[in-house]
Amino acid sequence: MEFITLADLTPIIPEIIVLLTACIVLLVDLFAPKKERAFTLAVTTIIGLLLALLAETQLHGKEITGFYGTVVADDFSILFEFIYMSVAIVTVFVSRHYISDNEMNFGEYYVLLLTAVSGMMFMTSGLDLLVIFIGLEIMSISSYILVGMKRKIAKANEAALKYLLLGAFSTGFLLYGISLLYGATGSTLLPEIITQIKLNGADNPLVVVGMALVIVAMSFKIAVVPFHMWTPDVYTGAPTPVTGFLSGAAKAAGFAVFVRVLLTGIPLDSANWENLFWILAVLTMTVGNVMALRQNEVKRMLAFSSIAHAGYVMVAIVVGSTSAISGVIFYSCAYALMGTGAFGILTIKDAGRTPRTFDDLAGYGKRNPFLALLMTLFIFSLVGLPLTGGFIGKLQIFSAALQDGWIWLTIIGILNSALSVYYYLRVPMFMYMREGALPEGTDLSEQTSGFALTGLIGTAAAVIYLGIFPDRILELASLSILALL
Amino acid sequence: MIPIEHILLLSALLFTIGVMGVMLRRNVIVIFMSIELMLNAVNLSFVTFARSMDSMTGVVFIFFIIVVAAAEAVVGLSIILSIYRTRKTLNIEEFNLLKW
Repeated sequence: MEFITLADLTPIIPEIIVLLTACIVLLVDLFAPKKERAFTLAVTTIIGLLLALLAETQLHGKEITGFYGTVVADDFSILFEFIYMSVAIVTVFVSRHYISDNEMNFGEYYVLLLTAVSGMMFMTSGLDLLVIFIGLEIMSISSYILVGMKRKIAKANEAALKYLLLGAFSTGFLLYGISLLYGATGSTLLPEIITQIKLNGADNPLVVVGMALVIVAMSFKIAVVPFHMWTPDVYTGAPTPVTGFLSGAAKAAGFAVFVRVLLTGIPLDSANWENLFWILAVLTMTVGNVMALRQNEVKRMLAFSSIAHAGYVMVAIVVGSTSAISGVIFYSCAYALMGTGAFGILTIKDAGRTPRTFDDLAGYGKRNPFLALLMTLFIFSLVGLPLTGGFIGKLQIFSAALQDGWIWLTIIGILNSALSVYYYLRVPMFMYMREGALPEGTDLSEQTSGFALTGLIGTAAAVIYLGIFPDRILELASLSILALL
Repeated sequence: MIPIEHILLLSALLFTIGVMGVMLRRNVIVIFMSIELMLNAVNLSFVTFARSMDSMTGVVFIFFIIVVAAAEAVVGLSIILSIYRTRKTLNIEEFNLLKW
């Protein structure tokens, strides 16, 4: 009997690098001189993530499995891991000034970001439900703490508690579903589960209920209506950079698992499953957009709109063709960037406070012309205007839906997109067209931190790149899907 | 030997009690306990399947569930503690700062 060898470690080298960086950051936190501590921590984190990205590119196209086939480094997981790490890097860039302003400037902040990223990476590269579960929990537990990092603020505590309770609740469903699938097939390995299901048919009640429970649990994680209740509260209460991180990376990780489990897990042919997903997709788009219409707080509006974006991705999952699933990857990528960017702008102090409501944005365009321009770009991309990544993502998803004859779904999706224009454009409208009445003596001389600016400019460049030259990413995405099937 | 259907039924029952507890109870600590009950119901179902199929995977899975549940309890209780410090209550209905 052969035991685990060093070769087994190859597919998880990026994960190992990220975790090692987390350990190093903890040590740096302990020993770095106080004056340079914050800067050193952020830079160490970024370097670690860049090294992991480099390792990722070396694994590209090889499809190596390890640990008895329980983890794999295929193109699909590599693409998604790229998304998580890019989001994490942007998050580090925009959080440095934010966390020191809000008395949460601990080394642990970076450590938890890194462990959360490593959890997402394990989730995506796991081929065994056990690995997926553990990755999911590493991610979730780290993010519960990140959400509650401002521990003296009542709202942050409340957000963390709600996230924790609903997250743990959904974990219960996930585990029960896994146990039923295990009972039906005798394995927790995804490829083996699908062979068993194909052999014995998918009508076994254990399989049906098990799959349904797993889907419910994953729907909680990616905030599909009716399992979305936590999203607006958590996104509003969490520290803004963490909100960006959750909406970009954690959601993408949820989609990755969704796609992997559905594509390699159950055969989605039966009409019942398709109808169910159809209803979920329509509900998610519509509820997200309608609720976003009536929000006064920008963060809360973005939170509801992130639910709507999950709905567009669900459309692609319903369609399920190769081009639709590569749309999932592209859209996750584009949304991760524009979402993190938009939340990133909100982390920056303007006129002595971070903007919270739409009224706070009045006169923003005059006070910070450059930041207002970046925000407008992210908003345009979220709306889906041409020349931005969001446009190509929506185009890819809806044209794939049309190709497969999902006409009603496409119409509802496009109507929803049109609806979203109304509340999204309120942001640039307030920024440029409203005069802001500031209290006397507000200090306007404050400089935007160069660190944050670097991250935001990078994100904006990536959003435009995705909008103008999407071919490369789309090609990579569809190749990775072919490898998956 | 007890037929496995009975044990599975018990596990499903425990899981349901846990779910109902989460939905109906108002005290955060009790809700948290109900979640732990759900996880233990899952453990029971895993061990039953593992026994009936004579496979080790299920048993190994349980160890991981126990570890994760412990980690979640640590983080969960500290979050509960810090919310108690700011709000002086554990009634879930009073945690309504974040609402539209």
